Amino acid sequence: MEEINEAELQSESIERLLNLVELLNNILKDEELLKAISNLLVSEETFLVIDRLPQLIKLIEKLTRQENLEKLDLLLGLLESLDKEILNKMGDSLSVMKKKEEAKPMSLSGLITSLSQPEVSKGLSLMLNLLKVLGS
Amino acid sequence: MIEKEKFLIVGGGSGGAILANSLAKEFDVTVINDSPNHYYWPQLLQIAFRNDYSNLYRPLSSLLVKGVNLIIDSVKKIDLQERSITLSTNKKLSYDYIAIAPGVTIDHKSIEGNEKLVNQFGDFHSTPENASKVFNIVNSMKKGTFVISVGDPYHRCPPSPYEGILLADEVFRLRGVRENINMVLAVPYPRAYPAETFNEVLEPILKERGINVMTFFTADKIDTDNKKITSLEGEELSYDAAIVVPVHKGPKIEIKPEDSVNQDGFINADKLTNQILSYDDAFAIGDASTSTNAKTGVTAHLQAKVVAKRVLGLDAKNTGRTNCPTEIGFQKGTFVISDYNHPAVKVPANTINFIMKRLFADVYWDVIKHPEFWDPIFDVYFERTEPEVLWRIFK
Ligand SMILES: Cc1cc2nc3c(=O)[nH]c(=O)nc-3n(C[C@H](O)[C@H](O)[C@H](O)COP(=O)(O)OP(=O)(O)OC[C@H]3O[C@@H](n4cnc5c(N)ncnc54)[C@H](O)[C@@H]3O)c2cc1C
Repeated sequence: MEEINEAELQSESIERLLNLVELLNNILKDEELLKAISNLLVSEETFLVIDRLPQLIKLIEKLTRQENLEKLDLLLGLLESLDKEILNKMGDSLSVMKKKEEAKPMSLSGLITSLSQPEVSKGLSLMLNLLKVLGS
Repeated sequence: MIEKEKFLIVGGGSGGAILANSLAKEFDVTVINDSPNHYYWPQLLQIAFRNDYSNLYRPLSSLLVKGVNLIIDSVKKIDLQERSITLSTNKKLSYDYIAIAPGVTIDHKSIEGNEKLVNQFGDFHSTPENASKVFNIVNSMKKGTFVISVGDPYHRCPPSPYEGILLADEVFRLRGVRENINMVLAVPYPRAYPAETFNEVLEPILKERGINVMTFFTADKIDTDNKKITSLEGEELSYDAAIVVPVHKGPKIEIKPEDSVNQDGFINADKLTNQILSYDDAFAIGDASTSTNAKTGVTAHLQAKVVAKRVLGLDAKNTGRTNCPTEIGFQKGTFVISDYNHPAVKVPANTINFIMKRLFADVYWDVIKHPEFWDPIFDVYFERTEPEVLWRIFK
């Protein structure tokens, strides 16, 4: 009796194995699936990622150090609290600053006046917050 | 030895076969199916637009686990009061439990002229032969107007007409004839896709691909001589080639008592438990049942699992979860995912979703045969992709 059970179990296992082979065969025969996977994997972006893999691994290692994870968390919290408009304005001011690299130095009175403008002070406080988080 | 209770399952399709395999250990299960083969209906789209027959059917006997009895015959009558069924050979069988899962009956005649139209251009909701006619048309048409029109909003697989028109567009583009073909999708809804939320995903895609959408158009009559479709709403649409998604009706089985079926022949079952009226030993699952909010294989599968749990004494209930992989051509896909409490999520179209769709199709046969292996995997999948969760991601 036990022998029959053993034989039955074995034949069931072999059948399951054959089903799994059939499943795999189904996947391997699916041209559309394989084309889509290849197109996803073999692309300019993946080549770039592969090319920069050593740098990426180093970067990931640095970013995932406990102290950096905490900082990143704070940074993300800060980013979430910002609305898009402020970020846009910050971007605009940065590009203006770049253009004005050769601009004449501002007079002290001019500087004080511009500090009182709401957009400038919003941008400044954001910069200060960012620096605080980055420095901590 | 205690005798096992008799569990009859009418129809060994997506719902019936999974239910049978899920209960084989606990019950004396018999499946009655009117064909020796189990058909994977989504393959009709692959035949229509890719001439790919690979996954179309498997012998049902190869999909049922050991211990499940199989009778190849057509069920003629079911008497819920008497707890009996009658086969086409007039043989009667009795039961302790019954699950009715015979799917739908395609009724081309309900739309005047549709039989003639299907003879000419085929469709992708009825038979492989009709799907192959579609393949011939989309691969030979060079110019003119190509129409896909929905004649029945309760057809199988809600996204299938959209997949059809987008896959036809792909074929026309690959053949280099797209510029000469005007493509029209005519639907009964106020917008391209019935669910407003998923429409936000689909409409821009249709627009980008240059497909004209005609709303409030329910195909009613087809004049094949003058190549015109008239809608219930009174509008006319001219075509050079057209496919009308046919009317779906309930199974051709006489079921007693009479109030267990509605006017279209669908079996009245509770949407949470699949129980038929007050018969706690009788269930209707899948496309044949009114409990089905979307006629999809996944719905039939999930309902089968609910019934299996209920007859084993657990208080399982349907959530109305849908999970329709939707192919849009050019190796991209999306999913229609919703449940009773959440409208369809705005899942964006991408290649990963297309890969998921193909994988679902390729593992289909193994999922039917080995629920014990796949259930834990699908439990996690369905939990992680609950509409509630996805709505937070794809706002
Ligand atoms: C083009 C297309 C694309 C689709 N795409 C998808 C998709 O991507 N994902 C998805 O989940 N679903 C999809 N579906 C829907 C899916 O195929 C059905 O919802 C599913 O098959 C329903 O399962 P069921 O068990 O209710 O019926 P069926 O699978 O149709 O099985 C019914 C069985 O009952 C038998 N039968 C009928 N009458 C009798 C009788 N009187 N006596 C005995 N046996 C009988 C039939 O032979 C059949 O085997 C698609 C359908 C189509 C047409």
